[in-house]
Amino acid sequence: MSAIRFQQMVFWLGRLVLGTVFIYAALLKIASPREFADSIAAYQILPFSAINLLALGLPLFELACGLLVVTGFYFRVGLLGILALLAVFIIAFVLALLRGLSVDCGCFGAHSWFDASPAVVLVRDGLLFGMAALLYRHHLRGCRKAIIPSSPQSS
Amino acid sequence: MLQKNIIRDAAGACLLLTGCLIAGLLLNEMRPGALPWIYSPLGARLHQVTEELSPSTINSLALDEGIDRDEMQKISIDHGALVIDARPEKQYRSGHIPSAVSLPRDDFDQRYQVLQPVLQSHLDQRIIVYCSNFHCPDSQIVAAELLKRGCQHVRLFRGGWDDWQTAGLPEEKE
Repeated sequence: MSAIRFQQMVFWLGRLVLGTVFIYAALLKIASPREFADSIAAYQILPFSAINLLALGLPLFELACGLLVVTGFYFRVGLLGILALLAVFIIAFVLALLRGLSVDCGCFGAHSWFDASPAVVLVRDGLLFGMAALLYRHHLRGCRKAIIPSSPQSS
Repeated sequence: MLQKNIIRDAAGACLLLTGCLIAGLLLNEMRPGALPWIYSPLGARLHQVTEELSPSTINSLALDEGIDRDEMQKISIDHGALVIDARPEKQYRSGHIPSAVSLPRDDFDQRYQVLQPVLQSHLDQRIIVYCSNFHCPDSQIVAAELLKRGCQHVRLFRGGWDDWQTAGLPEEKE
């Protein structure tokens, strides 16, 4: 197997993992919007008027981004959406911890074992963010290469 | 060129987010037990549920330390009470205390209709309600709703599913 093919396979696997995680997390939240709204409220950042709107819309956004990443349709838009979600979440989570709030991540529904401790949540989301950033960078570069082909070598 | 692509992707993501927020609101209107537009905090919801209860009943629930794991285990074995799981149905399906029935807080009104015959026959018998752990409010909200609907001997298993599972006690799945 050539190095390029191997690299392609790794990136494809990365896409599959990232997309599946987001689709799974979204489906859990879509099933229990009230619980997700309670999780958002626990962060004490947003006004009450915005909480239910986000509790209803964000899981659909997660689902859409996950599907875009897995299917490859408008792939970079899905990846950027995932990057934004993860960045906002990590910042909100760290702020909540600094303020001494006892927050349940709520990433995989309330009281999930995936969200066992703040350290687990931060490491997991940090890894997902890194993976998404690498994938996005890789595909942007691919795009640039397609636009500016390397100059033909003189023989 | 790269910058242009990033801006284009960001615009696409913003458009997608807007569409999802609108779709979320529309789907919510079609769902039974839709969320209100403005969030109502847990305390207020619990207050709303307990509003119609007599002060003594509210106090009995608030001060009730609930039953412990050993008692819960005994009840589960000899079927000494109706056990209610107040967690979302998905969590109930992935594992629950044997013989417990699902009456999720999120879907209370609909599930109550289904369980009404069973609950009516337990009005003067013991009912134990549990949710995930000591911190979750679901069991209290469901217990208060049951008290409001005439059940007289409602108690909480405050340790909930986490306590049960940590002890390695038998579980049922659906």
